[in-house]
Amino acid sequence: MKQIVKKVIAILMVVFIPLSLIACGNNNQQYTRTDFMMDTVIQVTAYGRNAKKAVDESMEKLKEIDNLMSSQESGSDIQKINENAGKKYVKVNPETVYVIKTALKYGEISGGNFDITIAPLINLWGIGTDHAHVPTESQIKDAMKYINYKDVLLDEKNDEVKLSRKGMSIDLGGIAKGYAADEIENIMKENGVKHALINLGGSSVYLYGSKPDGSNWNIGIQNPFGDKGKYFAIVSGKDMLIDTSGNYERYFIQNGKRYHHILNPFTGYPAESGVVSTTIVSTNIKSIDADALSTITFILGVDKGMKLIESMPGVDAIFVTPDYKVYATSGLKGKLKITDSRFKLYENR
Amino acid sequence: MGLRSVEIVTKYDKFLIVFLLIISASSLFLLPKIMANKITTMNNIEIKVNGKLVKTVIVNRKSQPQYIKFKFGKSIGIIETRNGMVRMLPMDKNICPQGICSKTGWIKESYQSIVCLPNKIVVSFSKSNTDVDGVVY
Repeated sequence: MKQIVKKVIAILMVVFIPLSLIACGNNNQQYTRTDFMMDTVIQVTAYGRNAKKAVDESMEKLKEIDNLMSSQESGSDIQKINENAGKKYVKVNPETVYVIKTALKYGEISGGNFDITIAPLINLWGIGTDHAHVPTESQIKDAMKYINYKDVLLDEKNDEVKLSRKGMSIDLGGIAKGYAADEIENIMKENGVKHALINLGGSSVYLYGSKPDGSNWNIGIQNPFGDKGKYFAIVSGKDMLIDTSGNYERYFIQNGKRYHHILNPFTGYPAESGVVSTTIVSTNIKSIDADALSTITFILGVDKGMKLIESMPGVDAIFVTPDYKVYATSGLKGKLKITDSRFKLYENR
Repeated sequence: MGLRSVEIVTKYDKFLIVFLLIISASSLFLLPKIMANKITTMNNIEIKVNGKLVKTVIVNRKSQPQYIKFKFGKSIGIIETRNGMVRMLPMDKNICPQGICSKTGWIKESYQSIVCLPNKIVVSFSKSNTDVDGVVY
């Protein structure tokens, strides 16, 4: 009897010791969640013990930001500000004040090319909606009267915002996602998460830490002339953000001409600066800054955009022109690999 | 307290040690193979509505055309799969006004996805097994 018990114990040990070893080695649990928010698809993947908690908290936070800063959500801070344009100061959340303040800073840096008061023009064109159309010249002129970021008045002490003239409105679509990525980064830190991939609508990707095995993440950059998901180059890195603006994201075609969604506040038309896409790559700045800079560089074009980015330490940019030329700033050496031979790379010309 | 109790390693122990060695050595080589095979020979297509997984379809490169229906809200959508690829079939204009999802066409790479924003549908492959971890656009 005793012998049999011993044998059984021996067999059980043979089976369970290797099993427990396998289980111990697998401490990199992965958790992914995909939600629809901020007018796009959000995907957050985290690794490690607190992965699920961190991802769930991130999604909660995104919902909060969306409720505050979306121009579509009724009762949002932005709607309140827009409804009271030319009337009075509106009390808003400090986070909204921070995002507006940062947006105004980039209005200044870009000489007005990045302007959150462009909302009347965005609504007029309706690009990305089912009523997109080319407006008349006089309609555009009329909408442009309301564009000037200097007319956004901030009372930081009391968290109050006012648009100085009636008819004005603001849209934080070009910057709120960047802010959201920064907030998710904080949530990951608080939860002790070491590795995460944060993808906000596909155009903003944040590589938090390294991959779970310690290696660099590899992110493809959309081929502006190819199907969605086809990439022409790979950027490798960790603790890095990548933010792309392209003329292929949202557009419509009327009478054979393509009209994309990045509008130039000075012409009233989609920006024509000789680039089809710009990508900001940085390990240094916040996502909110990268979000604004990818739009700004798209409007500025290669020459002016390159000059602006090279003046910012730790920030890099990739410009693609219609003739398959790729211009990259000096800091991208060794990080950028062209995988589609039709594209020709010109590093820091 | 006889001499026999000094005999620490019995033949059962020897058997146990050898068996353990074989198991651990073989699992070292076999496990990665088994796992890799699982990933490369088939693709899981996931259909998510509003972030919730509603259907998983297993396809491989030689699979016959399949038409798979799934529910969202009060409507029904259909995806077509063949040869490891998948596409969304056009929906009624009232349900999906711009038809961006069906215009996406066939997808076959693991980092690609079909998105229907108005109806909160994402069709994608569940395992990534490529050069990149994602694509920015």
